[in-house]
Amino acid sequence: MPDKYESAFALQEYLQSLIRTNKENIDLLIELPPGHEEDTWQYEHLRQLCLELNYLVIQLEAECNRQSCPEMKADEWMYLCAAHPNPTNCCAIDYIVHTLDGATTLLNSHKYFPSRISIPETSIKYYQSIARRLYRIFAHAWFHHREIFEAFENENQLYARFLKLSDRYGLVAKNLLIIPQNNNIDNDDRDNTPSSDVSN
Amino acid sequence: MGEHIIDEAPDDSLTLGQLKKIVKQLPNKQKPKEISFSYADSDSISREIDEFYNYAEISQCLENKNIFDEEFGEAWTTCTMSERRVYIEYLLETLELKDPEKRFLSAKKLLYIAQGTFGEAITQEQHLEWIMENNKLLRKCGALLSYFQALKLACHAHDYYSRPDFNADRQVYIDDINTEIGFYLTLLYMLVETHRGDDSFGTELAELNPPVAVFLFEIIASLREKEKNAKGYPVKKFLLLLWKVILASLGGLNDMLRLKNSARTINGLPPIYNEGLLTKSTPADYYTFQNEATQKYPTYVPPPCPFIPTSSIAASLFPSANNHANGNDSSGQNAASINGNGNSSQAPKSRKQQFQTNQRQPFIFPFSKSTPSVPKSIQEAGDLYLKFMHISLGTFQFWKERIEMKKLPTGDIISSISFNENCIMENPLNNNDESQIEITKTDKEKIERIEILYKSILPHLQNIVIMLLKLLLATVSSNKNSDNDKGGISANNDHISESSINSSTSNGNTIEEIDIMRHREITSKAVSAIILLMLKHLKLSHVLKFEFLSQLLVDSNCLLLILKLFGLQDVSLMVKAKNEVENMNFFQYCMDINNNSTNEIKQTDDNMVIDDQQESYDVHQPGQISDPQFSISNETEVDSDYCWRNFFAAINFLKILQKLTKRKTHRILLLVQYKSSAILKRILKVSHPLLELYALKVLKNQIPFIGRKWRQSNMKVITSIYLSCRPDLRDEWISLTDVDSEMDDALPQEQNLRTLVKFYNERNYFPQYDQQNDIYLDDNNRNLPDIFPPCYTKSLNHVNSAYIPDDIMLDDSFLENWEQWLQEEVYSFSSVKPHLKSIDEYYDDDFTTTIQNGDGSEWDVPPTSPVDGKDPFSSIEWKNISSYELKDFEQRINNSGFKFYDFDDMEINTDSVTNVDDKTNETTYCWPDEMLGPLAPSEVTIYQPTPYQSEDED
Repeated sequence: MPDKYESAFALQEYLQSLIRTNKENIDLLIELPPGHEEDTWQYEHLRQLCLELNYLVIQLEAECNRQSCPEMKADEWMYLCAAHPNPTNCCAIDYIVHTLDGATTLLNSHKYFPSRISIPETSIKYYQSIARRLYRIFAHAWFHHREIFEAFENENQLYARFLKLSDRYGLVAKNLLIIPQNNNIDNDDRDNTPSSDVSN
Repeated sequence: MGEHIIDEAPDDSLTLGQLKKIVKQLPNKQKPKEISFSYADSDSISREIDEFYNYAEISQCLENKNIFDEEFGEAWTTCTMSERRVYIEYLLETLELKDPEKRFLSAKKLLYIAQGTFGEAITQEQHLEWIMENNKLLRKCGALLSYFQALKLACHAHDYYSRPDFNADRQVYIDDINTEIGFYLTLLYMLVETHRGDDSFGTELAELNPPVAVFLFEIIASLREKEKNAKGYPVKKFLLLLWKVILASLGGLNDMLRLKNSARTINGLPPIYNEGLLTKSTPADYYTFQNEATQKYPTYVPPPCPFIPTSSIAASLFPSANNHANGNDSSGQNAASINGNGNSSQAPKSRKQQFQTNQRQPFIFPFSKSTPSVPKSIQEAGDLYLKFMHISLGTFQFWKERIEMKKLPTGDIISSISFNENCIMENPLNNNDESQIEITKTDKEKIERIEILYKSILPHLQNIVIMLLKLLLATVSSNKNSDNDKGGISANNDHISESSINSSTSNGNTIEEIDIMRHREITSKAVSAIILLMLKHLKLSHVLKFEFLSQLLVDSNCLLLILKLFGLQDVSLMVKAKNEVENMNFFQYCMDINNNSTNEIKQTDDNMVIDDQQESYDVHQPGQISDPQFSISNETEVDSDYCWRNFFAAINFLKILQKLTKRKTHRILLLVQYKSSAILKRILKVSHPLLELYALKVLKNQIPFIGRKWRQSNMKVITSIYLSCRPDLRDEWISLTDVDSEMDDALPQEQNLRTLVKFYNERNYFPQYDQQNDIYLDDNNRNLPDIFPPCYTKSLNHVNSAYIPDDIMLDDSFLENWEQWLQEEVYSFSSVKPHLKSIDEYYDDDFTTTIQNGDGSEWDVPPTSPVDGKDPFSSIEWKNISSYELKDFEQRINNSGFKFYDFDDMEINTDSVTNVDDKTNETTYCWPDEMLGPLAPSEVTIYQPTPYQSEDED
């Protein structure tokens, strides 16, 4: 339980120790520790996610570069990098780094998240948009660097955790999860092929 | 003065109360019906939404609906909440897709949702409900963030495409991006409108990075730079959105008094409760009175003035000081008379007394212990002054800023105004009122937001003002025909004969023409509201912010433009104009779609002439009568046939005029010179108390300067002023005792005000200003996206590489002797250059010869002391003197330099950009009797000091 940690970052330490000891038990990882707020718990998870995604980026760098992936793509979806005032053609790895940087900056921004103990209500809306953007990194890895993705996932189970988290707190809408889920055969007639819909 | 307060007045004069009674008893001689318009922040939500959509683009609604239906395939209203949410989130995500086609489609589907999924609404009320409901949901899904992000990207893309080095098929790209910007503006507008009055939403708007209002203002400013490519830009939508965003994030009419009191409390002044005070006296008035009284009765010891030490009043309040009355007795003034340069408004005019007895001869009251030392009436007068004393926040801030200016070691500029430092010590400003009013957090935030807004837009303020006024000008400088149309449509039979407009064209208006007129009216409404709101809010924050904006407005010919607006259109017709085609209005159109009458609508699309004007009237009426706030005044019949937006704009313009000229003799003289009285008198024909009141207020300011003849023949106007404008306790508006000295003081007064404004801006915003300027020039750093700050990583490298050149070539001798060099040149050099000095040097590069240390008699010569080297400010901002020339101004109106290319958007001709250097220095005030004609253009010289223009240099 996080209560036994006495530092100012009890929740973070608790989460990290769970990951160290038992990262396969995703349900336990996601489970809200008693006596804590959902907001702060999500916040810690998102922070952790950013931290660990960096490891994935390091793996990706070996094979994802301007030549192999000149554009940020995931399946048919192609994204505009929001990090530039002018529409710029960022290659995928740049996009990923920018996105991760942006998310990290936002989560550490004193203006929006002045405290890790209580989150201002107006800042909660950023969770979704952060999660949505982080998801694109997974998606790109899955569609274009499957081997790296799977090796990473086997080791860390980060994507599984992300899915659970998103599912639990409704961070990313189901129809935006474009990575096919093995256990769930698509039962939604319209959602799973959004790109074809868009092009109508 | 003030005799109207006392009930028993001498027989030969009337009190205000008596006069009002008499007027009431008079038979109501065919006074026109009063118009039932009630002023508010904005019109009803459905009308405001109606007005957002142009007729030309209304068919998009149908298109959006079809696209949406094709994909969604179900009934939106019967979906579960989570199904809707999922779909909205999906659409928001796709706004970030790279392919513009896909983004367009998503935006259109979002539009249909934001527009209330009208396909499933049966009545207009239901439609409105769904608009509210859907937008609430959109907000919950984080739509604001996505919209804003998308808008920013689109605007930057627009910047990118309009760069001169972008060649390939520019117009195609720009058209596309304009459409896209239009989508996002619409989405944002729907979101903002549906959250009217919701403070938490206002907070959200202000907390984005940059705050939405700042971003929109910057866009307006940037339009000036790229006027070439402004064709098709959805300017009207921008303006409407900006107006609503200001309302939402800073507050509107209802918040004003509360915010004002909060601001007063923050500054240590007591709040005002009695807004309906019978009369007011200002510290300056009281000061004047004290001087007069103590001269006549040296034994009189006046009670001290609260908050501001009396002796520093005159010195600190010169811009508003109205103490012309004591122009001839200044010899006895202790504090203010030591005017070094004689430039300040206090400049004593030792005019010879024409009278035989010396009125200033002290009168010693026979001393006795039982009687008071002065006549009772004098004491009573003193008490009355105190009783009605109103220390406005502005006065107070002026005074404080003056102290700051005095403190400045190099403040030679102001040493001309000397006042006793001791006085401040005597009367320290301790907040003895234990802040009786509680400042709510939201109010405080709002006041802070004004500060942030000002700080951020200060570098662009000049461009913003010019752009807003240009857009306003574009609404009048149309072809003459449109005026005819206007007169025709509004054919209100009793008025039509009076106007020179021929009404023959009345029945031949195509939808296209009506749409253009409507577009102009709406633009003018939005601009007027934005300017007025900004003036009001800046005044709340700090009076000198307000003064700076008004200075820019005056310099950009705002006064003349407003008078033109009133002059070219007959206000009594304008407020009744009907430029509406009911079945092209958004709500009605959507309903018609549902009723499968789409075929008919398609027909009307093609410039169909409306045959039956009456039809559109009838449909139009009901919305206006149902004005909730208006309580019909019992005796008179009311006229509910009016055009809300035009009425609103007219009142706004009058309010702006009043705000810009109140107590500024120089600007009042400009109004006199423009012959504004004739125009204002025409406005009085419209029977509406608020409109009349403001027209009268503006007239009242001018009356001392207008000339005896005019006054003689316009006693009616003077009576109305007496009846409706609240008098000050010391208010010599009918005839000044010393008009000449007042007119002589006008210019120094204005100059001093400008000096103080300059000082204030530099003191508080200079560091930011400089930085901002860099940012402004460097496009990359402008408008950082909110979530993913762009180049934090990148810019870091950039900065490093810029400042640490990798191959520094050092001299051999230096390499050997650097330690010595360090000792001699660095460590032993203890005296650090003052910061300001370096700024001065920086600006010295483009220091032009126009700056002379003058006596302040000319506009472009700041009233500085000759010690120029020490003065860090003298060289900075007076170097860019430019102006619209009035001739050009006129010409543009005549030649209709502004044309409408399509219905929504206006194109701005580049060749109409005038920034002609105008270094004319003379003042020509003329009496109206001598004027050549209406607005005699050749006589008018407008000064155009335009500080802070350095953006333009590159």
